Amino acid sequence: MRLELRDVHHVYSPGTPFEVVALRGVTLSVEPGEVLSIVGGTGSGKSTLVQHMNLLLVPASGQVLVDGEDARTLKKSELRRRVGLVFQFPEAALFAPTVQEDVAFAPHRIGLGDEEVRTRVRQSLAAVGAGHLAERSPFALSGGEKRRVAIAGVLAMGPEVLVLDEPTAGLDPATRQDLLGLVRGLREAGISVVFVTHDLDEVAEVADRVCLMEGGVARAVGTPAEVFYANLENAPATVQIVAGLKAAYPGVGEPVRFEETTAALRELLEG
Amino acid sequence: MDGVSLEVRVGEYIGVVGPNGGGKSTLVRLLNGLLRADSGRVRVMGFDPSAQPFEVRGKLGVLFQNPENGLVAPFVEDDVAFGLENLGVERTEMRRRVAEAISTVGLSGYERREPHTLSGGEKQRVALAGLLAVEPEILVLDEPTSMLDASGRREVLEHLGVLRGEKTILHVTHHLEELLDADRILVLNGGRLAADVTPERLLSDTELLRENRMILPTVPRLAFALGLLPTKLRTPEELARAVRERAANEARAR
Repeated sequence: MRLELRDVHHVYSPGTPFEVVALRGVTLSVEPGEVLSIVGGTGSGKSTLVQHMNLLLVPASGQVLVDGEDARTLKKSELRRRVGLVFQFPEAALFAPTVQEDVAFAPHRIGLGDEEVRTRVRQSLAAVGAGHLAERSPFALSGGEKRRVAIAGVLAMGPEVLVLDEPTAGLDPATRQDLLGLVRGLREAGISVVFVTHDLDEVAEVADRVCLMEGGVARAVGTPAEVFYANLENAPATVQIVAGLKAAYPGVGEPVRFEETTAALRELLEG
Repeated sequence: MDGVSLEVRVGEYIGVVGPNGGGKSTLVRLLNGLLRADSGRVRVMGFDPSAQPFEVRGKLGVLFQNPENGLVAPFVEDDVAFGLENLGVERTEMRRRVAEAISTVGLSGYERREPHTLSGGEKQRVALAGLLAVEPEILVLDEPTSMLDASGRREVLEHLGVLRGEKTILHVTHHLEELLDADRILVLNGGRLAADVTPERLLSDTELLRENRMILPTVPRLAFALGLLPTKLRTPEELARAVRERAANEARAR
């Protein structure tokens, strides 16, 4: 699926003293099978932006297009199945007595048969590395396990685009790495992933493209190297290190990922 | 928690790390009396937090992860005063403490702002001011920066740095780079105290890090991969400078 936002504006509480303009004309696409990272400071509009991707929020003006068609012409339930949204701290919404019942809830609601639901629950728990937790109570899990189970609940709907809002906040470093592995796995399975995060070092490792939000506009959109080397105050540590060497060693290039950066710096040191 | 024994001395700055589910949050809740130990003993300045929660909460304040959950009042100054009102502090004394706490976290001029109009870093500083107004001797910070962006994180850490030495601080975090100046780091894993070490020692012990699901922050990890001393290099600028110097030395040697 190709998802497009065209000149999307959003205003919270319009016409009241609490009016806040959150998006001021954002044009952005999510290409089939890519990992698109949305970065930017608190209050820059990241969460508001992604909530337009399945019309949970409706733009004040502008359009959301699914494969070129206005998303408003699709049935809401259909749109939300195809564009799965995982909120910040999604584990807060876990409620069923067991993990498998929790993950089965939404697929059941859309009327899938028992056999199909069982298959999907098994597959989506396996995809997030939580197959062994199926019989457990979601409330007895660790933070990282809960997070993965909550993501499995959205995956079980078979989305074509998965939107993850701060999926790694509050997780330990190794669990964050596991989640990045999950994002790569989803991309290999052909699912587009939109990944909202504060952690630029994570973006460096998984993103195909980056959208840098600031004050409700997309300040820069492009490959990680394009966006980060042009916006050093919003760049991961690797890019900031290399930027400090470029003047003296222009041949160092523009590496972004950790391994690329290590290789480039080793080469520089070895002359 | 499975048979943990530890002691924190007055004025120490202690980091607490470890995997999700390792026992960090349980430790915090045992310290402020939200949980009672099944066996063993917890004492905070001589008081048992589960039996004497009011004595303990005046002495030990907890800053939680998500600033959204803690702010209740219409204006910043009311929010900061909230804990004092509950303690029945007298009016002029309350004003003095609120003004002082707001200034310590660098929010003077924000007294009449509405908390919902603040950034994440500012909200977390309001929550910190609310704690400081109660004048606790011990601060427990439970992942205070995990919801913040890079600039919010810097803000909060800077204002925490000011309190160092003045307060006894326990700082729970997944970000090792926040603990490079700690006196000690406690590693909790599987409900046990897996290590009680200096930051230098933890950063250079790859085995200990791996066993406890920790990964070196990018700058020291890259320094390590390049054969540079990781504990001396904290910022990207410092690492870039070290690489420049090393490259110049090697060019001269050739």
